[in-house]
Amino acid sequence: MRNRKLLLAFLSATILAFEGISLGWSAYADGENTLVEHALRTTFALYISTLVVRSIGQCTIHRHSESVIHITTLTFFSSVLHFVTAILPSSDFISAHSIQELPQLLALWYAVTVAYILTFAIIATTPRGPPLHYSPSFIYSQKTIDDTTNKAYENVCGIPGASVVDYLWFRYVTRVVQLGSSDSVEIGDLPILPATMRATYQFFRMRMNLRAKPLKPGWDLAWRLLSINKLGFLIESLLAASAAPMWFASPFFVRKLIAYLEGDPDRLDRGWGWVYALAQFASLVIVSQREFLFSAMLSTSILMCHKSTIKCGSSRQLLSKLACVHSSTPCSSRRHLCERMSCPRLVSRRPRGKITKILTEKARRRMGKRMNSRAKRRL
Amino acid sequence: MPPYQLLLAEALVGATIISSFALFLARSQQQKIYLPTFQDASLADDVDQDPFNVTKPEDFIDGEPIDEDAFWAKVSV
Repeated sequence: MRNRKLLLAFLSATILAFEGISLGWSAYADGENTLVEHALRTTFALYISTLVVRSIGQCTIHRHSESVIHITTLTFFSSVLHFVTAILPSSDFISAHSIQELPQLLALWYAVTVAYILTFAIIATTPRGPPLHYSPSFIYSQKTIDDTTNKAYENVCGIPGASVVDYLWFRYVTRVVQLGSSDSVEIGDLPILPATMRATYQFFRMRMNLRAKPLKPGWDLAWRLLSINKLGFLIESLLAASAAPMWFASPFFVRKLIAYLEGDPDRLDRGWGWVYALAQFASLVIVSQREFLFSAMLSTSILMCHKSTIKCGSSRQLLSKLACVHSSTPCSSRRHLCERMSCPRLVSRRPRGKITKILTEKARRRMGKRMNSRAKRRL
Repeated sequence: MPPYQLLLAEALVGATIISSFALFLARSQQQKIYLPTFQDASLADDVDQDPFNVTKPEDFIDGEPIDEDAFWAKVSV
């Protein structure tokens, strides 16, 4: 954990140095057309090093996690490509071609592969932010807080600070699972959700959207839900599109593997056997992970948005009715309205528009002072 | 040398271009200055009358970081 980014900087500098040496080597060796590929690889190494060096000084959750995600994705992509090309058995033509090459260049290539995999392993396990504390009094009533048995100070769900690997393998759920061993589980014992998953946040988004343009009857509601969650839908459909062929990939590779086992009983050329086995493993992992990764989050968001739409819609109708009945008593109307909508959260809330009140009071005082000073001057 | 080296290098540069484009987009979004959005009505408006303005500024934060300086020191150096 300690010296993590420094180690990363060292590793990326090593990769860059190795790529630079290979580039120089390939420039000297005439007759082989490898200069372009080495130049492109050096560009990639340079970009990774720039990202790593840039991330050293970043001390905000947003910036840091952005860097971590970018470096993780790039090094993962690079590691997978290197690994696949390393285990892929070369055809006769290419192997005859590679005999002429220098063994040093090959050693450098493997060293770069190992360095990429190491970089990926380090950055993928780096946390994206510190653990968080959220005051329970903001969202729970005093009774709920008193009932809470889980007194851990770190009470926010671990999603915002989870490392990339923890996020992909749902490690932040461990705390909830551990709650099962305690005597009683109350609502306050559960980790508090991050901001984007809270009902009030979704309610706010939907409310803003409905305020900008009133809801029309018919398909408009479906369209609103879709447009508010467009990013989630986009990611979900992209993941689905990429994972769909994987359903067929797994049986395909099993068939290939069996064909290989039957065709090569003495196991003389094991290269293709390894490739098929690993491809089958990878396709299974991708299919199983996609099922859970984003769909849960998206469905929660849609559900919340849908609920808040109903509330927003009904609020407008109810308000117009109540405006006629309780026009003189806004406070009681609010309470009444909230009770009718069976939303205890709204009832228990402190009055809205507190900031406005404070501001208007200040303005009044200032106005009063000015008036006084003017009156004094006149006198 | 393992096969398909040129393809590999091209794929890597493609990833570089996509990543730098994504970073550039994110940066251009960040430079916009947002006013606080928890109160959408203007001050002159009848905010007191609106019982459904239930979002508070606290609802927009994930939480307060615990021991933030120690964490960044641990990660960075």
